[in-house]
Amino acid sequence: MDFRLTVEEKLIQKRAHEFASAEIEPIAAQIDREKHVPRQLANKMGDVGLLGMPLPRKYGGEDSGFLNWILALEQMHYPVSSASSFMNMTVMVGRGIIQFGTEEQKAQFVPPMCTGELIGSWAFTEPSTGSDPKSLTTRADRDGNYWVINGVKRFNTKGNLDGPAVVFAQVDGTKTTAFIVEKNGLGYANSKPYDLMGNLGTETVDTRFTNVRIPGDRLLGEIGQGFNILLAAAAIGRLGLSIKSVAMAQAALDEAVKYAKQRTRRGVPIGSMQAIQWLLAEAAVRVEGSRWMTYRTAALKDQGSDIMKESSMVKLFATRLAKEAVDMSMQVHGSYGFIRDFKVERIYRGVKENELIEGSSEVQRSIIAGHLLN
Amino acid sequence: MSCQQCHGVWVFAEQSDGRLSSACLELLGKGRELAQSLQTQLSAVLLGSGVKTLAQEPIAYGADQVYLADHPNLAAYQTATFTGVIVQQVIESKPEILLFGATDISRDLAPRVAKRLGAGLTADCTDLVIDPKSKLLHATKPGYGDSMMYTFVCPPQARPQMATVRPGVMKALVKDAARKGEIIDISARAAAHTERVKVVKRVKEAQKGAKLEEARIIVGAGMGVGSAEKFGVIHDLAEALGAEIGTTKDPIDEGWITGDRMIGQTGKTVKPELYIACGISGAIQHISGVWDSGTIVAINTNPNAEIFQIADYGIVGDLHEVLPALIEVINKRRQCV
Amino acid sequence: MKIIVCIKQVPSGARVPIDPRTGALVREGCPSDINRDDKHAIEEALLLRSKHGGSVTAVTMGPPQAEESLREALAMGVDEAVLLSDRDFAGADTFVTSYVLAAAIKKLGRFDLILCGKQTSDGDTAQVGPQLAEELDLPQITYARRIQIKDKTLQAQRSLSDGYEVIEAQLPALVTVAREINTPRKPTIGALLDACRKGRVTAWTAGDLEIDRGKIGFNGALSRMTRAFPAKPKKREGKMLTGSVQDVVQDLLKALEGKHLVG
Repeated sequence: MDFRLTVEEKLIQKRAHEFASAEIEPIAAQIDREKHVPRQLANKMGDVGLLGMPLPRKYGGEDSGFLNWILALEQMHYPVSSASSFMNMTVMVGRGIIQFGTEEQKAQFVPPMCTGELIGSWAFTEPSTGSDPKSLTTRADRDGNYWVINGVKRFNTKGNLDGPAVVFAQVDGTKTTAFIVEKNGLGYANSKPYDLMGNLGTETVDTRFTNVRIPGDRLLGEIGQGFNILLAAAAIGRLGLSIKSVAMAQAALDEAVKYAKQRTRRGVPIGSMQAIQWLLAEAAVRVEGSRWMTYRTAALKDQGSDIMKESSMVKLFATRLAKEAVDMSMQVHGSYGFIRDFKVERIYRGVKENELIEGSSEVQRSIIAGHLLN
Repeated sequence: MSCQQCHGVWVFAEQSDGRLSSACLELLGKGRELAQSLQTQLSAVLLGSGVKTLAQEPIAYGADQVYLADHPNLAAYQTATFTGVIVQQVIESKPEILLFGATDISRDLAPRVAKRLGAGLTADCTDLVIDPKSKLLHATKPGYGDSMMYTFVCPPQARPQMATVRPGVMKALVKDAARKGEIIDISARAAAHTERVKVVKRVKEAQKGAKLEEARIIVGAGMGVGSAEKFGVIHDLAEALGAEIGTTKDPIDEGWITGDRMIGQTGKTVKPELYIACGISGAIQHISGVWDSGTIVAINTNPNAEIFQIADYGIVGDLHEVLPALIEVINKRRQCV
Repeated sequence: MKIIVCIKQVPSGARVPIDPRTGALVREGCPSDINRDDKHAIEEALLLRSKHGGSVTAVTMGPPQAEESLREALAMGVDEAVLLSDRDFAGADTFVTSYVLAAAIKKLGRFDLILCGKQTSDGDTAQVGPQLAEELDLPQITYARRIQIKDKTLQAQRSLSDGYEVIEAQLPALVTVAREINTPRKPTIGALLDACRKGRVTAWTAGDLEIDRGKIGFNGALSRMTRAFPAKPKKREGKMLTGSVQDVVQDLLKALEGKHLVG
């Protein structure tokens, strides 16, 4: 096995790093403070080709493969975790439309998402459920050549930004079905963005659908195919969150190492003390393990494997270990870590989210056990 | 070139506007030392137009001989002519060592001279020593962010042994105007070279203000300055030193000064050659921004201020007393020059 | 117009492992990048190509991993990329590097202009450009911050410490560029993928060039490293200056002048 990055992988990683340093790092603190990611950042990412990397060139992507995507995402999430969720959303929504959509749907919605002109959303969760399709209450009723959608979607990431939302609704009561809804149209109403603990600027809203009328050709896939569409996207979401966790943990660790070298006690850097050294070592090991498990999972996908089990495993693993590593990095900072001026403070606030969303750790455990016991 | 009977240490005497550069004077100081180790002569090579009166200067600073080329073709630096004159004289007189200051001109000139002569050239040296056994020049230069030092030697077929020397490291000798030496006129050499590069004109430009990240010297101001009215002394010091001004959070928050000047956790990271921290306590939020500065000077009334932990030179005192005195002496010295 | 750009792959981080025996950089596996000044040279070549037509060829002498830099140059837009790589090139100094580059350039045939970066971030000598010009018997212009070409005449603004000079030379010529000359373009993800998957890099070894084997690599170098040792680590002096204000000011200035920081 050759674990070295290829020339192509190194160049992709470097390019993403350059972008993140030039465009995101300078506004990182501001994004967190103002709880807002500038919309144009998506366009800038689009210009470089970062948004739809693993999607087919035919639809505005780069056919980069998923390992390249992960390598880029890792760099892009490093300065501040919320700025690059544009990349996660574009791929999740874009891939869903490409796998299950008609040519018209693909041509209409995917290229503008890859340029950043439109922002995608993935609207499954509702007040009553985050993971169980049977509990969905959003309804899609036929009206001649149209569908009429009624219901409430919760935690609709970027639900307030123009673009296609893949909305999961029940048809005839029990058939979970996916639809493409152009956001912010008639009947589509967003709440104010949630005031979250961390990853500030991601813009997550509740959306109320009141008789939202969409043309019949906005059905995504087949009636009743909704759950399959949901599942097909799960692995990608898990990969994305795993590498996001890795990036956040690495950023926290880098800050802790710097701090350990600079902060002195009685004229000696605190990094010379065993207690600090052990914290740094334990954090570093967690970052390394999470990173390579994520890379491997992405590489498996590129090789054609179905990674339902592996992606669940790495999400469970990386999100938890990253949280631990960030906690250790904050501990190194002592009370200074608690001050807003210090990067580790906002990373600490943000990293916990990864264990809770897109299939909480509990859900992942059930999935993994399911694979093991069957 | 190979050479059986090479002797002498030569120094390229870079001059402009009728004065030898300080890099040149330092080079002569080092050259004198090398010449002494080799028990040989130190010569300067002086090229220019209307520089006859300058010819005594290298001697006053340690040279035994000056090869003087005074010719209109040498009025301003031009690659072909300067290279041609130096190379021809080297071939004729066969020095064993040829030194240049590491300047813009010598970065254009020295490599070309070395290539034409088939000589070894080590750039940006910070130390030159004659090895007592081999009598060879050992040229040492820093590398990789100045964290490693590398020593180079030229094989026998590569003569003269050439080096460019980092300015500001070697020491010039004290000028001795009474010192005697020989001036050898080689001006005729300048006549015969074809210059394929033509200088159309020269334009002088005012120096632009440097970005904080690129500033060579930064004066840092903190809470200790006290108020907006009292901030003038920071501007005065910056002007006297040709420095940029950086601050901790407070002077910006308080509005004592505007601009993109904050240094620290939530501001810029800088690494000037000299950082003077005035009225700055040295909290970690700020310190991390100046960590890699070359030399740090700290002035604070509190003897226990953390800033003194990372200072090279610390002064416990009131910046409003120390800085004016400092500015006065700097300005006075400038006038004397 | 045929333009050749000489580039070098250099370590990009500050932390490059050093072989404790030889003191040499252990470049393999280290994050590397196109030398920053060389990116400006590539950009200038591409800008001149837009104005005058023709082609741009990037050439580098280095270990096999230098291919990465050539791929990046292809992604920026150069037409051809040539890698000069051979065990026997190792240990070269700038004298040898300019000799080998010149041999490759002669093999590439007729050219109008050679562009180089001012200096590399690892060697820092700024010697290869002028030595290559000498080897190829070309007029040289160093630190160009602006280049204009009309027919066969190249006019450049050359940076000086206190301003600039306007100079002219007839092509073919060699120019080293200063950073102020342009802002290097950054390739898109798509361009990088194309450069890696479809771009062509021509690789030449010593045997492909007309060179004297005795003049290359370590044997041909005219300056040889005999010793490598770590510099004294930066430790803060922590000198407290005491006395009257006048004493303290004098002591401080003396110390700073000794370090050539003031005056």
